Amino acid sequence: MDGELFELTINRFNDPDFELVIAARKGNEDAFSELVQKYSHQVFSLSMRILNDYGEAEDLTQEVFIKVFKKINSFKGKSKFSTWLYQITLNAAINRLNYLKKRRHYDSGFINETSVRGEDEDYGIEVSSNERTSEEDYIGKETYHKIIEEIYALPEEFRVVIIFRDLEEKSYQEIAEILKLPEGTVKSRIHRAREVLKKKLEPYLKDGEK
Amino acid sequence: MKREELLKKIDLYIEGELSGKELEEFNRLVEKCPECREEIQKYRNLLKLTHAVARYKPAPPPNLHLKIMKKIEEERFREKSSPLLHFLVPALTLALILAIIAIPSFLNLTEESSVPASSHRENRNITLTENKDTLQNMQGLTSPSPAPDEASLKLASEEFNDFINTIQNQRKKLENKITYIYPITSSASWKKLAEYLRLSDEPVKIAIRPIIKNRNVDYVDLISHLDEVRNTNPYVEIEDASTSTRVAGNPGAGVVLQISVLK
Repeated sequence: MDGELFELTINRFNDPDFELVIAARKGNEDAFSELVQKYSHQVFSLSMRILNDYGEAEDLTQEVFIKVFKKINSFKGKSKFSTWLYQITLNAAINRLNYLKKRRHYDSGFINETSVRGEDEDYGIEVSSNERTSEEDYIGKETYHKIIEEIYALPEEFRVVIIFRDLEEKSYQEIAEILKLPEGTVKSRIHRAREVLKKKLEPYLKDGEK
Repeated sequence: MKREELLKKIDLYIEGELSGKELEEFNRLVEKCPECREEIQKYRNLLKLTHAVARYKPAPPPNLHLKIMKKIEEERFREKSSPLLHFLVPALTLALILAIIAIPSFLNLTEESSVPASSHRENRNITLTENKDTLQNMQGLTSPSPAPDEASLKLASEEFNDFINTIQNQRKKLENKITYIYPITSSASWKKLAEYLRLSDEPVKIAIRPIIKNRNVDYVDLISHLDEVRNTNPYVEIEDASTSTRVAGNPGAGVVLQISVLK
């Protein structure tokens, strides 16, 4: 127990969720609820980016937090809680995706528009209210779907890093921690993934074309 | 550093991740290499596109936090009580069947003595409880005024559908007071209960009597469901006695619902 506490103590000063995690481990339901409140949208977002299916992503989000609830006592504080949560989400989402692929649920691997619920009719997904697209950020519907299509067509190891870096906007260090890879490996993997995307999206990369 | 090696860091350069000697080398390369500048522009455009896609975030499902917490509560309940349930479900199912067979005959024998001739109303009480941990503690607590011909039955959560069917099928056969103790484990159970009450075509009186207001119980959700029933079915009468009958200090206890079926 002392050893365990020591491990947890290491992260007291660099994990903003440390106190909540400790309280949740002691059975404090409000603390666990606060963690869910804080991270449920992020877990859903990552699930959605990987599975590309609204219903599946919602189910997976619930599944992830049940796992976290069951396993929180085994969380040793070697990484940040958020990193641990992303690892669980990523593993669960990849497993689910592979299962669905086996069942031919994803015929083309392309976006399942009908399963996406949101406010933007053109895209089938919502633009966060505080992140409305500027003129610069605006892309046409066809371009949007083409980019998504090419990201989903990437091999899994490339797709995951692109989702984390370019869509979820995580730092290289965070991605390295989540994937348990050296940061250099992550950087090189992202570069290779972007090289593939660059070739696939060549017609869209000329100045003025969007 | 060779040109090819430097170009591998082109996206790091664009993202501002290069510094010191690497950045100086890269800047020198860019100055004397028009192709490199063209390549950099392509990368810039690629990152603009992916970042534009990132701005479109999937809208999270409504009430996601609440849904997750309900699942967690169900999981917590399952973990706590599964050994008890394994024993209780078969035992209570058997008890229910026996009671259904035995009670009508018993009631016929006692009807003359227990029901005053002037009474035009029968009162049947069905009491529901939130947490099966409390089942043993609650025997006796849930029936405020036991009649001589009252039978108490306990049902486990998995039996809820049977419970509803039993009431629907047997209500005409039941001639007097019967108290059911029933653990409601999720709001899904409440919704079923509400559905049953919504469709009821005879007067139903519900007294909500929580032994303790467990914070894991979505009590607001429960009340809102029952209120909805009260507003849509004139036969249903709801008396919220929750604040007056709360008993502190029993962490296993939950919401007790007493339903009186009157006719």
